Amino acid sequence: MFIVRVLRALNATSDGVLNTYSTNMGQDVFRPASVFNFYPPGYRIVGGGGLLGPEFRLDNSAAALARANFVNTVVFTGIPLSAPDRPTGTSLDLSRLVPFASYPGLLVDELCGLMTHQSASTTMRETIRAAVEAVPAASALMRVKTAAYLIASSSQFQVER
Amino acid sequence: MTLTRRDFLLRGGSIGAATLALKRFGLVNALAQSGGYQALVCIFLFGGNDSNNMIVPLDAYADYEAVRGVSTGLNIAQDTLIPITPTSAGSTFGLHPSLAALQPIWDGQRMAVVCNVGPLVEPISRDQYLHGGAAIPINLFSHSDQQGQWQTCVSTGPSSTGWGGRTADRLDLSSTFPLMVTVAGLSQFIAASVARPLALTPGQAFTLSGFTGTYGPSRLQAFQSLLQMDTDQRLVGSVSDTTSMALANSALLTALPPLDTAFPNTSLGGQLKEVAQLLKLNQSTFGLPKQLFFCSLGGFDTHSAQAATQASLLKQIADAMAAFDQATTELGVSQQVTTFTLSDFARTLVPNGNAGTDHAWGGHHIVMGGAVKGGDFYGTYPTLAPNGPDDTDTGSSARGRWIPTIAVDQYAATLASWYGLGSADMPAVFPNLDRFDLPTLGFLG
Repeated sequence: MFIVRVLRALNATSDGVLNTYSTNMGQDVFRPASVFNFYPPGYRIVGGGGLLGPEFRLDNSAAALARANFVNTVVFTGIPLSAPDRPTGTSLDLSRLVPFASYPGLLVDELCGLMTHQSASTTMRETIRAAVEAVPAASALMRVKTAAYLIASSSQFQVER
Repeated sequence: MTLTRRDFLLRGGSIGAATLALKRFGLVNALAQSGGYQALVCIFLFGGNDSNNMIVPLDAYADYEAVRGVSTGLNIAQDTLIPITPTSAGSTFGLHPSLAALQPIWDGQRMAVVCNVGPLVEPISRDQYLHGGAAIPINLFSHSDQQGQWQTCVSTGPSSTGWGGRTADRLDLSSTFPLMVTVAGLSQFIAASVARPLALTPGQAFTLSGFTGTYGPSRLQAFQSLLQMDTDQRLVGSVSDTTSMALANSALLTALPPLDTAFPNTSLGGQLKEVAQLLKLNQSTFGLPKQLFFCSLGGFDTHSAQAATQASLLKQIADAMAAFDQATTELGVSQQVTTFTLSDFARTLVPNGNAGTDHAWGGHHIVMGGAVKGGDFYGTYPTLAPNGPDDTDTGSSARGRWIPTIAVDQYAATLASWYGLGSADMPAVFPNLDRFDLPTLGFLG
């Protein structure tokens, strides 16, 4: 699941109160619309030449923005606690990656290895590295967040392998 | 002045971008005046709506009561039903009391009921059903299969496209805004070969967040560049296409226009409000000559304690549809917008042991709009008798599952034909339609 993958990859602490986010992405967890779960087994992706892709039934324009916006929230601000229903909120600890910030190429490789199983193309890595380098080295955490956002919101990350 | 779609596109393409918005507004008005603009709004009732309790015969109430007496917990008392007299039926029926909000629309002849519709491969009699001689749809009484058959008009196996999507493919306008919009997630109904539906979540901003601050622009540039990469990997490319479509349209949807009409604060109310706002935005900005919408409401699989659940759902439908009817009048497009229901199937007339009902086949559906030849029933209301002339079942344990006398194909083709789908395109959209004597049912005109 997309939310869990993002949080695990980016060393999150979370109370798990995330259902509004998953619902916006088309999966109200534990409450599928029917006994047949969230998508039919025979769904074929649009423009995919007949390629089967059941999970892609959830991939629509509203969900696409919801996924990117979720990544934006957890990476840049976190979800604040709000007692009693959000006892801890959701936040990331990216400190392990901060030492990589001075070496944008290594930072991107580290995150791509972690999150895309090295399937990210050279062009994709170069594009992310350029965006990281647009942030001054002194803003190390912002560099890490920039890379984390671009990879976690990328189509390469969203297609599970 | 009469404008064809071709005229519209030619004019749209021949004028400068700077003046396009103004010119388009003028063209929209011309299209509206000529009847050129049309929209279809599908409301899918997921789970299988028990239409036996939605439309009850008043003249033959004894037949109904014999099976659904007070002791079943499913009885709709005769004096609570809202009486309606279809012009051509020659007898009186009653709407479920929760449908009260639809009564003025029925009285205003902007609503019709199409009786005993369901997926069919070809016309079939009870004798043929019981003893062979005509093909039946695959996996009858199954949610997923029947939902698919209602949405695809293909009852012999899976279909990757729906009849809404195939219709859109043939009318695809290559316009600035998608012809198909879903406010209830993707569905088979709007699955197409070419046209991509836009999916919106009612009441939520359709925007990409972030990218403020000093480093926002460079990150946004990278985000957009990444969407153009690795598109040869088809799954990756598909995700990128969806995101790109969202980005392209989010700028057009930053603020939906307000409406004077108040909508109920319910799931379907929110969906139809969003649809109405998009109709209004189309008038002021997009100028599409056709729009196609998908809405849905779930919870109709009432195997137990049906009475309260269905009453609540039907009220939600009626209140939302009544508001939408009012909104189309507010926008001056009552004649141009037709709303209709689909559902997996109807349910057994004979209750189960849990004050609920089980999966059946043919059911009744509502069509609403100024173009509807309303105040009437289309098709034949079934005989409410287990083991009777319309039942699939036999013997003393028969449950009352009606064999449809109208195919989904005919129901859908009537809507699509009104919508502008030409007869030459009918076979591609409705491949089984020629098996039925009446390709269209005449409830629109």
